[in-house]
Parts: sequence; structure tokens; C-alpha cells
Amino acid sequence: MSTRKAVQTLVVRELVTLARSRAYYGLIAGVFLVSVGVLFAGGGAEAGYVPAAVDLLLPFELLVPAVAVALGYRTVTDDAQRGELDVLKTYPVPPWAYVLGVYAGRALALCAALVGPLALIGLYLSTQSPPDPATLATHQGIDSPALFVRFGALTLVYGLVTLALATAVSALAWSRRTAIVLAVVALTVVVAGIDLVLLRGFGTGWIADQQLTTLLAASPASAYRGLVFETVLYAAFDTETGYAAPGASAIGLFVWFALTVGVTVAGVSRAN
Amino acid sequence: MTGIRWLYESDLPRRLLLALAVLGVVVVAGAFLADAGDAKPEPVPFEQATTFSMPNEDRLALEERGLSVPRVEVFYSQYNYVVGYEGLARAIDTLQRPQHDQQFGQPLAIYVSDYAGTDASVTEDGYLAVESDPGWVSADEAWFVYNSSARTTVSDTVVPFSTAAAADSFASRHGGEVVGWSTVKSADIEIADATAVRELVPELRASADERTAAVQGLLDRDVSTVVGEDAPTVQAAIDAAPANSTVVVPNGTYSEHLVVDKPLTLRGSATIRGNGTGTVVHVTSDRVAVAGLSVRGIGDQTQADDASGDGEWDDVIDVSYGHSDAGIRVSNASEVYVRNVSIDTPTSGILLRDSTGSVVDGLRVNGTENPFDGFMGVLSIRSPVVVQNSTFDGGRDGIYLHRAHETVVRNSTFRENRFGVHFMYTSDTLIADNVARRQTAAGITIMTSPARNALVGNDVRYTSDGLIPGGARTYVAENVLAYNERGIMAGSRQSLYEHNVLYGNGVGMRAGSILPSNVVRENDFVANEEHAKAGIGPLRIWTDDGTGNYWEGAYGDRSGDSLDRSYSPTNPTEKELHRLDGTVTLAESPAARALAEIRSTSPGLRRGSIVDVAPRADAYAPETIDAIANHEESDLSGTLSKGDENE
Repeated sequence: MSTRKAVQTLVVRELVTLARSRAYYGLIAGVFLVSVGVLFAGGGAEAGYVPAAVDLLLPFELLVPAVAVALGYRTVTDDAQRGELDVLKTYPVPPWAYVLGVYAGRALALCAALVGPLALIGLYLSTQSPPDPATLATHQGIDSPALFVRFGALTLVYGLVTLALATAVSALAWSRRTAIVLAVVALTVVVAGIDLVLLRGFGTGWIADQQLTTLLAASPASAYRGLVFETVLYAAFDTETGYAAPGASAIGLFVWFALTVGVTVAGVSRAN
Repeated sequence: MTGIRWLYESDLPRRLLLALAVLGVVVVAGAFLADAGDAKPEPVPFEQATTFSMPNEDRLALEERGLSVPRVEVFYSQYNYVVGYEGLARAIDTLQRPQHDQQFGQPLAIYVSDYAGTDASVTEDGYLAVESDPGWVSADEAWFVYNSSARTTVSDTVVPFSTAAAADSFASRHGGEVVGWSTVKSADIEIADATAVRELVPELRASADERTAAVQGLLDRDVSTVVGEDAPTVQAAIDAAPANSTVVVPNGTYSEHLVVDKPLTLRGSATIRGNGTGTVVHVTSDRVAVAGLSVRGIGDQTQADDASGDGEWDDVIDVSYGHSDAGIRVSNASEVYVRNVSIDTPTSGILLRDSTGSVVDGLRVNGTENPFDGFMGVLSIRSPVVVQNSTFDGGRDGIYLHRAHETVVRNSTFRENRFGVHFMYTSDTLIADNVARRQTAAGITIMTSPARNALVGNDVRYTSDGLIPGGARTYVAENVLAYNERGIMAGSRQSLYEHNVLYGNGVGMRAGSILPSNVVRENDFVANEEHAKAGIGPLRIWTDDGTGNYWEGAYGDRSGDSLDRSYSPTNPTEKELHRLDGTVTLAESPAARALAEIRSTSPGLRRGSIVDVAPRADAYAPETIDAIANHEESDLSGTLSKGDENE
């Protein structure tokens, strides 16, 4: 079997496994319900694309890593537990190809879980128009579907990075129980831990003022938030200062991605 | 497994995936490269903008003369409505406010009237006259003549032109210097806001005292004529009496219609009874006083067949409102003093036309039981008047003011009218310390967008709407609004609402104007079914420089005078905090708290919401609240001691 074929087989296997799992559909429904709930309770649903993005940003910072971890935390662990890694050893499939295959499969599933609900919300928003009392002129302000697509794309990137992290956790865990524990730890670190360190550091002064935007890029959540502010919400907020260093934030996210994929490959190689 | 075996073998999934990936990348790249609606919108007809406008009276008067006021249209990034300003000073003042951008976002485009090619000139009284209507020019491309002799109704104005040549030409004729937008927008503009109206209140009170003092001496005139002794009828006595003397009308009923055409004082506790048509007492001379009399037998016509206007913009109003039958009619006569007079009327009590310095004190008007059968208790047409210590029962409006600037109404009682006090085209007026009960429409209403009125210390209960303050820079303070369907219908702009108590109303206060520009601070909202509601338009922030309002039900940790947790009377959970158990627990859920945080961001596009980011920990007027809570029953009749000072 060629490596390419092996990767494809793994991708399809992951997708088929998830497609047969009711829990996966529950996950998609959950993302959708939370998003819609936040939009309607927060009032962004009737207000436009940017207010919708404002409403979704905070919940998505928590929800996206949770979904990614839910999808990825047992990816490698399960194969190891079921002995499938041992079976794979008998094929000429290098560890990187195995990691690529399972990650790509899960990543596609994550895409569906995030993009599906966001697309439905985007469609709904496109049917909303500003209130139009017959005699008063209205205009759109800064609001555009493009801004919502940007928000969706950045959310997806954030999801892919956290999925890579979750996959790495699954490669390091030696049992399902440790996989859960490590996943919760990883989730906490991404969602709050790094930002707490940054907050403390900034508060006590050992982060220099000029370093703030660069260091924010080191936290996936902050990098995501910064990029959303910089490219989507700039229209909604009027501040005198910049939100983030977009380049640094993008690099930060990529480094997290590359490092965690590297860790996964290393973990799988060690198991082999 | 066999059913999907092909999936593992075929090239299709890979190709499909590749196609999807390419599509995704294209869409995303497009989204990042695309113009995100930052394009500059085109100006709209001014009538369609949501405006900070001048009073209707001023506009109508200027339009009649063909005069022009420079206009501004602003498009904000986070506000769907186009905001229009009349006069550049108001626009600049608003744009300079610090919280302005937070509420509306940045201005995407600013257009100003373009006076190039309009042959603009300045009239002798400083207004801009034009040969043709100005168009629009983008502010950052315009040239402005600053400090010329041109003005608006409220301030000096800046006149914009699309070309430097036109601006230079205007400046050479009418003075001033030509500057760019960057200079104009940072100019030090002094515009009085509603806090200046607060300063105006003691002045208006003092002015009312002075006006009262100026006519009080009329009651001390020597008695020259006694009806029944020196003359057979009241009219004969008036005709016989020398000017500046007193005619005494002894007890009894006199079936007469009177014309008082010289400065006399008519005194006595007699009844003057008309024949049921027309006006009973007609005053056509300055410095007439009518004291102690009762007036009956008034006609039932609210319009005169022969009334016609003199070609002014308010002819329609004058003709339809200004010629009602009345107990006492004052025509073109000043410093008329009506003291302790009682009038039963199917139409109006006192009609004042073009009178200045007149004072109505201790008047009792009994109007019709059904408000729409009757007319106005005091009907003032272009007559600044002081009405005090008076009582108005029934009838359509207790007091109707048309262009009656600098009127003062105080210590009076209004019961079962349509409106207690009704403003039309009337500015700079004070309504203070009155009691209003059971009006079918409103205790006090301000219509037609006037400016600088003050409603202070009034107590309004059991009405449909307690106060409907319209207009600009209205000062609404220290009023008690209790048990009304709606306490305050705030349709005003740039107005200040402070120290009011809103108790037990269906809706305490409703934000009516689309454009949030009112300051609402240190009011007490207690025991209302809903403390506050908002119509369309963006989020209203009812906190002024860290000072909020007291909301029964709001909670949080005290920091200074306020609570550290914001309160939104329009939030479905928080608005029930003072009424339902369990709402605190719900409001404390992370979901609710996160939503509360989200809500105050991008306020320009949040609809129909109100938030107080620093609610007060304690009521501002606890004694008033206790008094309302403890004396509900005794107030049902509306018979307070206030204002009932008739003999």
C-alpha cells in the first residue's frame, strides 16, 4: 500500500467512524444550539454580522477548544488501546503519514461541526435587514458578510490548532483515563492558563509594555481573539490602540500547530 | 463494511476534498481581501435623517422668510440611522463628546451644506439668505467660513463651501476666516446643554416672583365706584370709573357680558353670569385686575367663525385654537392680574392673546366632565404668563401654551383633564411643583420640538402618561411619577432627567427617541411593573460620568455610591429582579453574566435596550418613596393641600 493510499484510508476510516457515531451529531447540534442561543439572547441575531461575531467570540473561545478536544483526545490512544497501531506497524506506513491521516480525518469532522452551524447562522443573518421606519434613512454602517466569513475562517483555524493539541495529547496518553485527564489539562491551559500567566506577568510588570502584543500571540486563545479584533471587530470598537500583532498572532498559531503535530508524530514513533 | 469499501479505494474523496479546500481558500481569501462595507455612503434627503433639529417654531419662521441654516449629515460605522444636525455648532459639539464614538462608532462620512453657488448672504439679523438651496459636500473637502457675521437661532455658525473661492468671497463680504474641517471639528464650541436649563430654573422662579410683584399693587387701587350704588350695572360702573381705580362688585349675580378697556381693578365675590354665548369678560387694556369674582354662563364655541390669521406660519393653530369662548379673554393687553377667580366653563377659562406680564393666581376652573367636550383652562396664545396656586378640574387641557415662551406654571393642581399642561411651540418655560391626577392622555406634554423647558417638582399620578417631555434640552427633575401607565415617555433630545421618582407605574420610563442623547441619572425606579423600556434605536446607557440610577432589584457589591454590577431594565431576567424569586440565581449564571458583558459592546447596533453600568446602591429620595408607599390611599382623590389656596 502506498503512503498516499494509507493516508486516504485513514482519513476515510476516521470519517466513517465519526459518521456512525451519534455523539458526533450531538456535538454539531450542541455547537449550533449554543451559537444560536447566544445570538438570540445577546441580541446579535437581529443586529448584523459584526454584532453576531461580537456575541459569538467569547463563547467560541471556550466552545471551539472543547469541541476540538472532544473530537481529538482519544484519536491515537484508541488505536493504541485496540491494538490497531500494532497492526499498522505491519504495513509500511510511516508515523507522519499515520498522524496526517487521522488528523485530516478529524479535522474534516471539525470543519463540518464549526462551519455547518456558522453557515446556517450566516444564512439567517443575510435575511435580516435593519429596522426601516418608512420615513427614516438607514445605512449599513460597517457590516458585511465578508466580516462574518473572516470570523468563521479564523474560528476554524483556532479549531484546527486546538485539534492538533488534542491529537498530541492522545499520542502522549497511555490509557483512556490518562487521555481524559491530559485533555482537560490541555483545555484549561489553552482556554485560561496561558492568558492567566500573561495577565499576571503584565500586572506585575515583568512583561514589558511593548512585548504585550507579541506575547499575546503565544496563547492560542489570545492570538485568535486578537486576529478577530483586528480583522472583524475593528468596525465595532473604537480604540486608540491596536488589538494585536496580526503577523505574530498568525505565527503563534502556526507554531502551536507545528509543535503539537510534531509531538504527535514523535509520540506515535515512540509507540512504534 | 462492503458498502463503503469503494470510499477507501476511489479517488473521489481526495478530489472532492481538494475541490472543497480550494473553494474554501478562495472564499476566505476573498473575505479578507473584500471591502467590508467601509465604502462611503451618499448623503440622503435631510428629512429622512434622524435629526438633532432646531425647534419647529424657529424652523417654520426661518422657512417663511426663505432663510437657511447649514446642515450636517453624519453616517456612523455602528449606527444604522443617518444623523442630521441643523447648525454646525451642534454637530461639532456632539462629535467632540467622549462617549460619542463608543455609542455610534466612528463617523464613516460627514456631509455639510454646500453654500457655493447659492449666492449666500447674511441678513441684518444675522441669518443666511440663499438664492437656491445648498447641496452637500463632504466635510473633509469643504472650506468653512468661521467667525463671520452669520448665525443660527442658537449660536454663531460656520458656513461651509465646496470651493475655496466661494468661501473667500463670502468671507470678504461678511467677515470671518476660511479654515478646513480639521480646524472646525476641533473648534472650541460653547453650546448650552440641559444643565444650563437647570441653572435657568431659579431665574424663571425669580422672574415669576417679579412678575407677580409687579401686578400685586393693582389690588391696592382706591375704590372709585361701587356697583349698585354708583352705577346700575357692572359695565356701567366700568365705564364710569376713572382709570387706575377699583370697581367693587358687591355679592350677587350679575347677568352681563363685560368689556374692560381701561386699567381698572374689578373686585368682589359676586358672580358674573353670561348668557351662554361667547366670552363673558373681555379685557382689552393693560394693567387690569379681576379679583374674587366667579364667572358663569360662557359660550360653547371653541372656534370663531370670523377668525382669520395674519399670514404667519401659525395661522392654522391661531384660527383653530386661539378664539375659543372663555370666561375671561385678554386681548393685546399686558400685566393683567387674575386673582382668586372661579370659572365654570363648557369651553375655556381664560384666553390670553398676545399678552405679556400677566399673572393668574388662585384660579379655579371647572371644565367639562368629559375632556373632549370642553377646552382649555388657561389658553395662552403668544402670551408668557405666570399661573400659580390654581386648580383645573376637567376640560380638555388644564393649560395650553402656544408660543408662550417664559411661562411659569407652579403650585397648581390638575385633575381629570386630557393633558394637565400642553406645550406647543413653547420654549424656556418652567412647570414646577404642580399636582396632576387622572389625565386621560398625560400630566404634562411638550410637543413640536421646542427647547430649554423645565419640568421640576411635579407630582403626577393615575394618568396614561405622567410626563411626555419632547423637544431639546428639556430639564426634567425632582418629579414624582406614580401609578401611571407610563411614568415618563422620554421623546426629548439632549435632555437631562435627574432626581425623579418613578413608583408603581406600568412602565417607569420609556426611551422614545431613536437617537440616544438624553442623560438619565440619579432617578429612583421603584415598584414599577417594568422600570424602563426602549423603542427602536441603539443601546441607551443611563449612566452619566459614573453616576447611575437607583433600580429596585438591582444588586451587586457596593463600591462608593454605586453597585459594581450593571443593571439592564430591558433584560428579560434582570427586569424581573424586583418582582420574582429566583431571578438573582438565574442572573448570576455564567451565561447571563457573559451576555451582560457582550451587551455593552458595539452598542450602536443593539436594539431597544437600556443599561445602567453604575446603578446606585441607595435611593436618591428615600423619604419621597416612603411617602408614596405609605399614603397611596389618601392620594387617590388627587386632593393635596398643594395649590388649594382659594378663598
